[in-house]
Amino acid sequence: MTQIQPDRPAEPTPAATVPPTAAPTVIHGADAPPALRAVRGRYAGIASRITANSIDVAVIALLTIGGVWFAEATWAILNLEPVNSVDLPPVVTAFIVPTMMFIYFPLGWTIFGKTAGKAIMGLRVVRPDGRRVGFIRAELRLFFALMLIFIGYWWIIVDHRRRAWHDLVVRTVVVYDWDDEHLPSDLPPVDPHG
Amino acid sequence: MGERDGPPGDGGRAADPPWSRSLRVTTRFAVGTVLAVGDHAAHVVRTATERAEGEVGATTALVRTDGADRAVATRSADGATGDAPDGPALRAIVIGALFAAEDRVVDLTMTVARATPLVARPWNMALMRPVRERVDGALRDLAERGAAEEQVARSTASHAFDTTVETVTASPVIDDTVNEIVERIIDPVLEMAVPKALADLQGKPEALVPLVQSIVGQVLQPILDEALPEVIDQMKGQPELLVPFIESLVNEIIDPVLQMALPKAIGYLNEDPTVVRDLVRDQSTGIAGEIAGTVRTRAVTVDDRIDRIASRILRRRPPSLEPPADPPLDALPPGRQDGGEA
Repeated sequence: MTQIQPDRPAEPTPAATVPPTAAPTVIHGADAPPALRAVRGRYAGIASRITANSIDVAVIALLTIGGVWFAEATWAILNLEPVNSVDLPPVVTAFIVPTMMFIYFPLGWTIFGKTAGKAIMGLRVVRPDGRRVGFIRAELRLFFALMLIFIGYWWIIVDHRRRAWHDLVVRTVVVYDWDDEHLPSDLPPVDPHG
Repeated sequence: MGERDGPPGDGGRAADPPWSRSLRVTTRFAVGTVLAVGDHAAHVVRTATERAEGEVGATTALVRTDGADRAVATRSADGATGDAPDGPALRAIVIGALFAAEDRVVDLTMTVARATPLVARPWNMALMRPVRERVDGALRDLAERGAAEEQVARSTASHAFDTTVETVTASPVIDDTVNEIVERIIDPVLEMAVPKALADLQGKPEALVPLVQSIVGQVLQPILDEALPEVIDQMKGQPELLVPFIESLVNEIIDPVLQMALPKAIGYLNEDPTVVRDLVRDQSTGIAGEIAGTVRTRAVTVDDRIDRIASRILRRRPPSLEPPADPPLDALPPGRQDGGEA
């Protein structure tokens, strides 16, 4: 089980303990013990994070479309032209997407610890000691993620704390932030030991 | 005869035998019981009549002026105190006659008892045997006839009683009387009480629950338990009746209920749309939470599986088997957990 490595001395967490010698068991939904069902605090894996980022990309796309339409409508109103007759210059349109990204992601990580995609997937971006990420660190995190064109995500598989390259650079981690109440009653089989 | 030596209640005359005293006590007890029951019944009837008249008067008075109200109250009071029956004098005569008859019975019995030893001796003589046998035979015949007549009388009385009850219950006079009572007493009460009760219930809709439960329990439940299974049983042999039965059920019961209840329900919902809004929101939130939970759980499973594959390829221990040495998020002090950067 991979969890946050704190800067301070570590304390054991009985609630998260899974004995390595225990026999493999396949557990369904409500039958799962709390120790297994509570995943809060564990480092998030690549599948969860890519799914969350995909949702965020969809959100950004919607925000961009809405933003472009709003900008065009504003431009048209200011110039007394029909709303649908205005097309923004390509340069402006090209700037809208990164602008939206550099507003949406860092603000979400700083204020809520999560974006919409991460909220749906139950993830949170924090510093290794569990503290909230600051705005500058969040901006740098997004900057490095874009610089490395998300290739660094594959390092999540290798790293024992499931960190991507931009996490390593700005010293952040992504953890699961949800508990039993979000578990469906028809939970698919979970094998704690493979 | 009939004159008493002592005051009333002294048990009888001085010359009376002891058994006559018991007879007199029993008679007095029976007469007293009958009188007490009669008085009580008369009191009950009078009270019920006064109450019914009072309710009618009160109901009518509510829609009249104060002067009419006072008139009704006066009439009601007069009705309560206006009885001046002539019964007690007649009743005293009857009771007196009863006790006089009792005295006569006692005297006659004493006379017979005194004459019995004188008569018994010659009666038992052999000479009187034919006469005695004839008398005994006549008495036996009388006893047999008496028993037979008693049977016939009982049967006739029973038949007459049944016939009377049937005649009375089937009589239009009874129907007219009942209708008259309903119109005079119950209708005004309903006209006043039902709107008031409905107004109260509008203020306290939770009071409707026990009312509906009692209606369902006492009215509908017996129908559902007894009548409906019987109808269905009878329809098993005639399936062609099922369609018209269901059609009539829908036309006669469900459609009118819907026509009455649906606009009212929509009206209520229009008055307080937050109920529907909360319902839809809770339902939507529940479905979204369920979907999110499923997606998260599957994602965690895939995460762990990818980790195991990677560990196998990289020849390292899978992360899920490492000893947990880290506190979860909520184990951290609040200051460190929430403290952000500048």
